[in-house]
Amino acid sequence: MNTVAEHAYLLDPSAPADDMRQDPGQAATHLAAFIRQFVEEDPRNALPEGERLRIWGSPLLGIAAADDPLFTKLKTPGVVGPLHRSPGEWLSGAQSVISWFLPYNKAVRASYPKKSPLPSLAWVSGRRNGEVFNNVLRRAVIRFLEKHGGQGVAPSNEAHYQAIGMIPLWSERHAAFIAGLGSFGIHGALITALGCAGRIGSVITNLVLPPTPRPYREIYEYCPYPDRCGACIPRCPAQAIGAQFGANWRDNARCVIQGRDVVGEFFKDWGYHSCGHCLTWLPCADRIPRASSPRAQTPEAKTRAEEPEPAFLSTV
Amino acid sequence: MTTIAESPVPRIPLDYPSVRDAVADYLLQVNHGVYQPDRKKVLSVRKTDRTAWLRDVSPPVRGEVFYFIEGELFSEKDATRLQNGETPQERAEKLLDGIWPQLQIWIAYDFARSTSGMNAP
Repeated sequence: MNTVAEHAYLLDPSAPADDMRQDPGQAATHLAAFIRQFVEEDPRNALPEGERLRIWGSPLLGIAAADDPLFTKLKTPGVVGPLHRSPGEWLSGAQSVISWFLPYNKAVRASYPKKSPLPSLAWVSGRRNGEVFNNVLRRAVIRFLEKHGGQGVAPSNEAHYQAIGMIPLWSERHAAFIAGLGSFGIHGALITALGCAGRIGSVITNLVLPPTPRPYREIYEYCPYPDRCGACIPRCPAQAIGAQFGANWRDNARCVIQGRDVVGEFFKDWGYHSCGHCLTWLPCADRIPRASSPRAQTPEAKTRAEEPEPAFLSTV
Repeated sequence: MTTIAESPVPRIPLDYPSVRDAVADYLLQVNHGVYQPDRKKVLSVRKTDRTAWLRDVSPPVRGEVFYFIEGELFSEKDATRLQNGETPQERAEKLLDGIWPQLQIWIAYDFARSTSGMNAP
């Protein structure tokens, strides 16, 4: 296989196509290298304001088997719901689901005010423009797969994709959970080895790729609550997180109203919205919290957790 | 549980004439003399009116999205090479015939306010 040498967009149309069907392990390595290089080099991974900070750091990548029984379980009411479509319903002959977590660059994360009920400009810009980049990445991965003898579909960018009553036809977070990227926090975000402050994307492919082992068994395994922590509950300016909201721990509508109406009104002239209090200045913001289940402490997570905690964690 | 009031979302169609003219201008440039694709050229689309123009790649500019002409919009080898007697305008229209529905979806998602679908409020 070729090494990923071209600049992002990458794939030189005149270059010979490789066949990723021959060696799934090598194909996954090649794909991971492509995604990491793309995130590193594509010029759209940058804020359009100020110092043009990079939005996303190096991503985490996970792969799920398209026939993983958990995808069927997502159709259960209260999990995602009957509207949720399995990989094979998006792509005939689906074999694998490629999922990634894009962590916010440290500078963007650090720009978020600790005390204010509002986010920083860099954060709201990163949320909006970073999702545009996430779309760009989805399309680049599809083009990459096509170039290498496969097909790909990004459900979240399909014309008929939608969320009905906040139930999506495809849940990026749940796909990431199945692909071994992390487990949920009570704030609803996925806690990964790089924390929860980021965005998730995925592409379904008909190529066979080796599934990533899931180093967890429980939905909330990386979240120390209720035994410890709970720092996101008082931090939410909309009081949208807590046991009073039942098994899912949060009121999604309050969350949307805060992001769209309160934050959106404040940043109206900029054209931005969306909140991020539950992703910042928390023990799980950039790592799996130390207080989480011992089973959550994978070698990678342990290494991360053994790094000195930032000073701000003691003052949350 | 709290309920959410929906708000209307503007649906502005992608401006075909400006996209066609930008692509035609690109074809004119790279087919002048020896055919030489330019991998630094991007099609930029403005959010406010969905008009497009051609420019060199640079960091993002507020209120626009952009797409590389070579590889991203047109991935086939020699797609942007003019055939004998073919005008840039004719070639641009042919090329756009192949990607127009997809490009409209890309634009819709890239300018969508939420991630709940390209037409979500």
